[in-house]
Amino acid sequence: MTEYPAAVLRHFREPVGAGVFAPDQLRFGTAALGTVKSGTKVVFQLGLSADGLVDRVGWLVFGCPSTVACCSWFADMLPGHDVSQAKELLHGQVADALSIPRDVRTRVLVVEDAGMMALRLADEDRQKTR
Amino acid sequence: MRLIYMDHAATTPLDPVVREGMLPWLGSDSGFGNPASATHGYGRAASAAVDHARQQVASLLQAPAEGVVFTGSATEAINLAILGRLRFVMQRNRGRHIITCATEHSAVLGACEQAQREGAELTVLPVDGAGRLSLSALRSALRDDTALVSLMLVNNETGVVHDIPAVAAALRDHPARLHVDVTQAIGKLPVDVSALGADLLSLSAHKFHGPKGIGALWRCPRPRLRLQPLQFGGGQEWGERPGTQAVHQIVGLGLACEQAARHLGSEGPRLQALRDRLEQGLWEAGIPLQRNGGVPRAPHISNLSFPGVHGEALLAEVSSTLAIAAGSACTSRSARGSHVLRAMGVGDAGLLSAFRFSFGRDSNADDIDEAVAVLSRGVRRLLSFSPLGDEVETHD
Repeated sequence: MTEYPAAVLRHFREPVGAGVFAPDQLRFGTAALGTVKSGTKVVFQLGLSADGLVDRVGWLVFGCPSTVACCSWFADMLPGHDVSQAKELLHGQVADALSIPRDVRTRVLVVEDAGMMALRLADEDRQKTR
Repeated sequence: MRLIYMDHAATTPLDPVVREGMLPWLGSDSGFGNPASATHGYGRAASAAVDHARQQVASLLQAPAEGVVFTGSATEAINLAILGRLRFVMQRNRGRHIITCATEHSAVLGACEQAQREGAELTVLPVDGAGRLSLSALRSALRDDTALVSLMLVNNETGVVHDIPAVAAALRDHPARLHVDVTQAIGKLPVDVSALGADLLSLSAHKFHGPKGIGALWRCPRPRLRLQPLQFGGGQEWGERPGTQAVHQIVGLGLACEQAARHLGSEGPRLQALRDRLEQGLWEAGIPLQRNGGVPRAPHISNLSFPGVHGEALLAEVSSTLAIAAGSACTSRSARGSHVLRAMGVGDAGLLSAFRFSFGRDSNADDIDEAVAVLSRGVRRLLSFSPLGDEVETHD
């Protein structure tokens, strides 16, 4: 079996935020990226509070333990951050935080992109409902 | 926690009887002789041990002993059969065409591709969704210059059994020779050279509780089927596989064949019952399940996919309890997937969640029940956060 970093295993075995919300929520974005054929498919959801802080994160994933762990890490880390801070977290930090090996980092990008897209949609929704 | 071994198609634990039989030939007092040293007792004893093992192998195959050529592995035996035969006939302009099948072991496909690089022409037959070969496709592929047809008896990933006697019948009036890779069949199904109609058979000891590092090629001795050796040197193994014979390994192979024959009548039905217990248990657990490979199947292999979950994630979930073989896609970073399942047209979700479960003499019903429980639990947990959860069929 592939050896996984301890942080990956911890998030894989006890994932944070697994599951999805009903999509028709305020200040909310849902993004679905990836394909079964490529080995990674992610549905990522993110909601913002009225004052612009991440207050809801949900996800579904078909993928290896590293991709599950990435989703869980974002669900653990994103709440409480504003949009610009969330963008920073979603950009290139999770792989190092979980010590994910370089050869599977393309899978991480799918999760990051899904998170970024959900954040953008949620922020657009927040701008509209201001 | 004890690791339950369900990967007997990869390799098997050494039979204690075989191990005991091998030990004297690893000793420093008497068993170290070179079988080629006919001038003294050490050599003659070793030579007699090799001859006895040759008889044991031949007895299991119901074939003349002088057809047995000891090799270092089934891969080597396969290479000797394919390249040795093709090189021999091509040098004499007696043919240059090989037929094989898309679901063959990589040793066969690799040797065929090498023959192709050396000027042979290759036809790779497709299989249907159940992994079965079409005899009419085989007949259509036969050409005047077809020199060799190479097929496995039991597929190493799915357990699907090719109808080799029917293939042999199709070749009856054709000069092409038939090589059969019986590596996965020995000890689980009767392997009788005459009944199969094979001209060449390859096998490996460690797949049936013998030692690693020893295999054999049986080739028709009467009249002797000629092969071009892959290596050159002394005259061992009729010059077809020169090099000092590894007496302890050969003794181990002989004993493993003897044990396989002894257990054959009871092991086949017992392994089939275990395999069916696993499949039935998983169906009854109500998780998404897809069996890869149709009938007839060998009794000891079950290839199952769990659509909706990623194989690598499921492996991480169960690997502290179960030693099982993932479809290559699940662990391979290239994610290309099993060539066997792809040839059968298995879809992406099935490819990425395929596992091979294979059983042997140490497998038992308690292990199967534990495997069912562990797998069901793991699949349910992964499905609980899979975006494919609604797309897969769950069996009630």
